[in-house]
Amino acid sequence: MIQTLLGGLAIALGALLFLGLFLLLLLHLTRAVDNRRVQKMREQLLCLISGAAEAKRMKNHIYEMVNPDGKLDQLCDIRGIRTTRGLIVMAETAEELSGAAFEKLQKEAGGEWYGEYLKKLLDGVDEEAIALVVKLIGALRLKNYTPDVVTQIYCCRTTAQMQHIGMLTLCMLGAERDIVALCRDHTIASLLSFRTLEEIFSVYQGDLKRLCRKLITSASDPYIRRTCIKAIGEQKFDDLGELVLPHLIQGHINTRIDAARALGQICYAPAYPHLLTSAADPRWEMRAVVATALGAFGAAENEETLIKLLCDREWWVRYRAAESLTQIPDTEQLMLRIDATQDRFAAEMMRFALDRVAFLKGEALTCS
Amino acid sequence: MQLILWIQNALPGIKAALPYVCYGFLLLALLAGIARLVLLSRATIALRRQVRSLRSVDYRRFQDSEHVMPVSLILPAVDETESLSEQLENLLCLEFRQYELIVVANKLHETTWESLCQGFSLLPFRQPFKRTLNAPQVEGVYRSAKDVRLLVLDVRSADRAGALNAGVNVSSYPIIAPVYPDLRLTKDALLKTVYAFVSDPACVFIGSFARVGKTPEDGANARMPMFAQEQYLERMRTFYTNRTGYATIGLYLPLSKTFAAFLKSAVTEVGGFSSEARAEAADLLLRIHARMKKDKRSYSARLLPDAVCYQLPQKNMRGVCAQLRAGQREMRNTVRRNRAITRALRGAGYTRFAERVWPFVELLGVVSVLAATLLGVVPLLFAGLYLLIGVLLGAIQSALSMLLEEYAFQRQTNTGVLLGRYVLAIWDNLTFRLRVALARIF
Repeated sequence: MIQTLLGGLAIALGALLFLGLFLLLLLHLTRAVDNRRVQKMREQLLCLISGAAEAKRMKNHIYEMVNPDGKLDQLCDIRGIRTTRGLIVMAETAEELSGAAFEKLQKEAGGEWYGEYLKKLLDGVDEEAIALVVKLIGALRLKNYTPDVVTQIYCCRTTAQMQHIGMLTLCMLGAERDIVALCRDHTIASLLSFRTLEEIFSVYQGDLKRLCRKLITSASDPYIRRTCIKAIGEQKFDDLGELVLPHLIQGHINTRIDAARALGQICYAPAYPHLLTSAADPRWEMRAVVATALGAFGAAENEETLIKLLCDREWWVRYRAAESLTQIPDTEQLMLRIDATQDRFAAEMMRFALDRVAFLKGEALTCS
Repeated sequence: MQLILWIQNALPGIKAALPYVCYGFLLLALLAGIARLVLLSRATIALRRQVRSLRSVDYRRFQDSEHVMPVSLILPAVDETESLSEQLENLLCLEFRQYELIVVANKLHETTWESLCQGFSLLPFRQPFKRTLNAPQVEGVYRSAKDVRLLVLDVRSADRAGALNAGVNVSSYPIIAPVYPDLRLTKDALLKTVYAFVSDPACVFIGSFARVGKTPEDGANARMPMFAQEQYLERMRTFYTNRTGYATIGLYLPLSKTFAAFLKSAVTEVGGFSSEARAEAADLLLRIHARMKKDKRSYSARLLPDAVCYQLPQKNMRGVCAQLRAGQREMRNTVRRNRAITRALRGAGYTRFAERVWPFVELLGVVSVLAATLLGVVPLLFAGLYLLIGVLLGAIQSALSMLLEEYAFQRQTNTGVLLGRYVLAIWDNLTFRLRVALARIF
């Protein structure tokens, strides 16, 4: 009895292995056959064992569809396009297209046939599929779906992935009103990391300055306010300095640090005395940022403070102060003044910073 | 004499019990086969989820982003290495916006040092750094005139852990990633790894599972020697059927010398790499786990399933066995040093079971069935079927693992290579896998 069972099992397992072998052999042997039907069957078989092959097939068909001379005309001509893989491939292809080809794909995806599928997924419960739909909406700029994206962010408020992709899509759509409304809402806690938020805002398609102006005062999440502060500094929105200054004077230390950096980047004059005061801040992170900010205001004008910071007990503060001091053209005089402090570590750091600048410029090194 | 007498007396009893023992082993083998297939399906689901989630977020947008966290790669080249220049070329052409590569080498190793100087035009550099971790004296810091991202430290008489600590001290960036001399990274390795830190603020560690062979950029699809293919298949099988063993830890303990990235603040908090540990990265990771759990902090340590890191194949069976035994010794040492936390992380127990206990049980099963057949208590056909089913189950697991890897991560399918691997996956169960299983036991 046991042997019969074992025999049956062995035959079943063997048959399974043989089937796999047969299919692979078929795939390999038919690779050079010059027959369309055989190649089509081969392609279908290949798609079963390779996700990349299936994606490639769909992508080729999409290109054929958006090409005016292509044989395909509609998305419904592409088999398997109404699947999650189809969503992924369309979103990826959308990023490669531009002009009329992009518009054609946009029109097809926003059309009735494909729209029905998108609606079905958005009404479903599969969060991964919904995330892919939301991504496609962003990639193809399907603005008529904006309310659906907002709804999904509210529905999946505890899912970081949905928040990420939802906010990213809203930024790609340039949906300022919806972004501001979402960020003001206290019931939606941001699950996203600071760097993710920075990246999301960097793809915003509308007026970023106006968005920052609105969010810096109204966003309920401190990370979003910090993101705005950083964006103001990086994008050099000089006239928003007055909105950043209060964050330097009071608030959480990380926000104050970001504010100091941003105000340095835009050289906002009213912030200068506050920055000078912050050079003696008990937190070394703040002193390090102030060293860079004062360099932006002018290393020569702030030489005395920067030399003091160069003698700081914290390595990173010395490093940032030395970086700022490298802007001073007369390095010999500068080194004399630093040597006068009799701080060996300060002098060592300054020499390193000068060597580094020379090295990055491609000049010969003087160190021995 | 007494022993022979005892055996003669006990023989009827042994003969009566042996069939049941054989049936017991048969049941165990079938259950283990089913359990492994279940684990494979779980791995498939997890993999699908991971791939889909990365696709929906599109991590590639971080490639040129200013907002991605910069990384310090640290290569402890403390021993003479012939292929160092080739590895540095590989590490310096990664697609990532901001990273530095710190090579910790010994100037007294003339061959290595010469290859560095000639290949990268090293220039001495006066670089002060903070000695956060206990590390050996750095005799000199050198920068490459050819690539500003390369930094070489001259450290004498240092072990790997010391060299890594020296690298951490000099590093400028918040993420540190140790790399080992026989590893090669794919171009998007850093991007995929660092995305975990960017997307999850609680992430302190991300590990990877090194494949065997060449990176796709170096021609992974080109024909590898059969012996290398066998190692590749064995690695795939381990990866996909032992997911339970590493999912909770972030690293497969017997394969700890792989590419991984740590949050620098977490590394310095626990005192850096320990020279007393055989597997310094695994030991550090478990200490980080212990520290985080003790402080009741929310954190995550993850394993990246993607093929981002490739290990050069061993040239002969002796090398494979030595590598395997070294991995097991390292695992034992790591577990011994971090007993309390390994009890809390159930994955460590599973790994030890899969690596040490199960191969022994399998061998015991085969010996019992063969002994029973020789004594005539079970028919020859039963023994044949027992062995055949063992081989077939193993072959199915190997083939499925290989196909799963193909489905999830291969960018271009080469049917010739795939067919060859499939046949090898079946054949291996009679040759390579047996030798590997024996090496695991003895």
